[in-house]
Amino acid sequence: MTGTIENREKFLATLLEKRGGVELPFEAYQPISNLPETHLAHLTTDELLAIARDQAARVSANLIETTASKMNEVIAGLIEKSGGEQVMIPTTDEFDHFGIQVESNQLVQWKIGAEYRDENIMAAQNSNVAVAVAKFFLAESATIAVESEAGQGRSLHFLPTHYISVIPLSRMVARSTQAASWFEENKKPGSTLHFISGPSNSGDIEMQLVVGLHGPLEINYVIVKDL
Amino acid sequence: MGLSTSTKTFAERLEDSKKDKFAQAAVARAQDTQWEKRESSREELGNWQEWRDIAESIRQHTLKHLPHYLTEFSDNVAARGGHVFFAADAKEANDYVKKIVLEKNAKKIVKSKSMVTTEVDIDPMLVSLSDDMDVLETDLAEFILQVADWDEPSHIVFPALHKNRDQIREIFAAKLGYEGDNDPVNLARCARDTMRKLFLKSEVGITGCNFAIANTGDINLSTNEGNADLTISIPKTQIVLMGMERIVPSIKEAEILDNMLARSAVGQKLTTYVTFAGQKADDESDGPEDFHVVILDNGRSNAIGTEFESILQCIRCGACLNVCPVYRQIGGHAYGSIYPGPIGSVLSPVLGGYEQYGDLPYASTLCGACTETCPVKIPLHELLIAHRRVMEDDLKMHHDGSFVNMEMNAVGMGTGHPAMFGMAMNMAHAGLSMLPKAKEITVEGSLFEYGAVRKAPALAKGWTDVRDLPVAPPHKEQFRQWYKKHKAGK
Repeated sequence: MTGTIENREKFLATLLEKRGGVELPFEAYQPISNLPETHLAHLTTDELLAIARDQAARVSANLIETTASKMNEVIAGLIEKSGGEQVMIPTTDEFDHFGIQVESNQLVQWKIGAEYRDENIMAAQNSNVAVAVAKFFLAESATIAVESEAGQGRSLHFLPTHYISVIPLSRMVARSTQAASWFEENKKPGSTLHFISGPSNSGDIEMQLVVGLHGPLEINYVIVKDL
Repeated sequence: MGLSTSTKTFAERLEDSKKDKFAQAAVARAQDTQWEKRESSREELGNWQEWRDIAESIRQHTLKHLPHYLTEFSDNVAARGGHVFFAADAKEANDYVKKIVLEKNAKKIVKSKSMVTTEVDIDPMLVSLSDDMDVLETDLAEFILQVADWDEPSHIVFPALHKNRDQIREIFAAKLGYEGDNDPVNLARCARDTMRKLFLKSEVGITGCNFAIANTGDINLSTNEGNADLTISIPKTQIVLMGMERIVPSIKEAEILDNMLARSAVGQKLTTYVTFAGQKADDESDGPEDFHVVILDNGRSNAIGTEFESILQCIRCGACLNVCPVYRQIGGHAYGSIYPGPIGSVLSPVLGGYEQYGDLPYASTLCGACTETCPVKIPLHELLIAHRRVMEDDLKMHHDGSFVNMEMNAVGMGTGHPAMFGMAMNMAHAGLSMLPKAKEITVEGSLFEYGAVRKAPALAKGWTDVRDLPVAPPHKEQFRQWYKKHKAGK
């Protein structure tokens, strides 16, 4: 269903009037430099990972490096360390694709379909841990990029108390430029992109950094080196 | 509140600011802390001037083709089922929001921090709609100000900078029943618990917009707290308010500006949560089912096609506040506008006119530090001079009255001719030499204390009200005399 647009003509007429009634011929934006694309792009995977390690500490995220064979053990350990209880996972083929198995006696899965709105939101709110797979990992800022969609709603990334992001090392890129460029070409219509760098935080009280104001209190990056 | 945060005159607000020693110390501390973070993050990035050129080119391009991008953006929002309302002023924006809230019969509204919603004064309108209306500011600082009976913000990035932890503890104890100590961690946990409960019941979410993505119809939000993400996830209805200039062609340009914003605002490489979202897809189960964007002019078009157009390049990082020596001395409340500091001194007269904000362009040392730090290269100090020229030359709004103008004319004449300037300097030294500086100068309450003039008359009064004026050196130690002597001996 198409939405509505109100008052646009009048509004734009005012802008045209301010330009003396002359509409400037449109030209698409032409970048004046390739600096965003080249910045850090020459670094090797090991060099980028070293940057990411340092940066993860700065954004108060826990970065754990492992291999595919030990990945599930690491995830289980993190869930236990977080206190167990309810664990939420998305409905996505990627868990099967990467062999991710989350063991929990209180496992809930994000349900696909608009009719599950309240159920999904409350399940996320009541979950102590969420586990999801990152679309990209930005080395420069130690940021995960996640695409919310039918199988993993927006709330899944924000309401649980602890968050575990499984990151295939092959998805590490230099910075947000590479991720933005990919999403420009491949983003699903209507999906939501989240770039998340560590847990929610605030410096609003005497500029003292406090972690975990709205989102998860803790974020774990599980970097799987051979995925 | 709206754009204006005070009914007092600029002079009265200055007097208030001078008394608020905590706020002065907080601003100084914030500026120093942010200096370290900002400069080191820029240095770490490298090629900072080239990054600024890129950011400037994006902003200038968008402003040049604003009608094109507003059309493209609104078409894309509507194509996904969203609604776009173009509002000429605050009243139109408020009326639209009011209509949506009433249609939804909503009583629980959550808001994410947004300068533009404060600019149009949306909170009082919402609260007035119903006795049981629950409006929640979800940014911690804005939440503190709301709980403190809607106190006014004093900084673009740190709105509650003027409140200390003891004051916040007292406010939370009185209004929220908080019984803990003044540790910011515990105060934040109290806020988290309070807000999370209300989030889950919310019916309408209201956000601002850092950037709007023309070719997808998404909006881009940056927060460190994640409150915007909850606001665009839980309520079924979302209303976005955005200034018309906050638009970019695609995610690729937004990415660059998000990086510039994070480094300039808080010295981060990327803000903790950077999100691109719009109306939810049909098969998604959270996110807004009804998505509304209000695109606001509210005086911004006054800058289009004028020498002030570049002020619309602003990405609201607040870096100019954090380097401004005037902001450091007088704090945010003294400006009387929700946009304080150099950006506010240029923008407020554009939005609200010279009658109300004509004092602000004079609240500057014109040192250029704001221009130097601006990540999108707005020539702020030049625009401040331009405002003064418009008021003095075009509008004949003589700023400080006839006596000050007479004084300034005399200064202008004196400094405009080398011979008269030399004579004036000699007279100044001669005049000061008549004052009793040969006596002990450390006595409290005298004209001179610790070698400085504490209370000077006329033009120098504005300086000595807030700063010490060092005593001029003896005539024989003047630089000009020294230079003349050494040049002659060369």
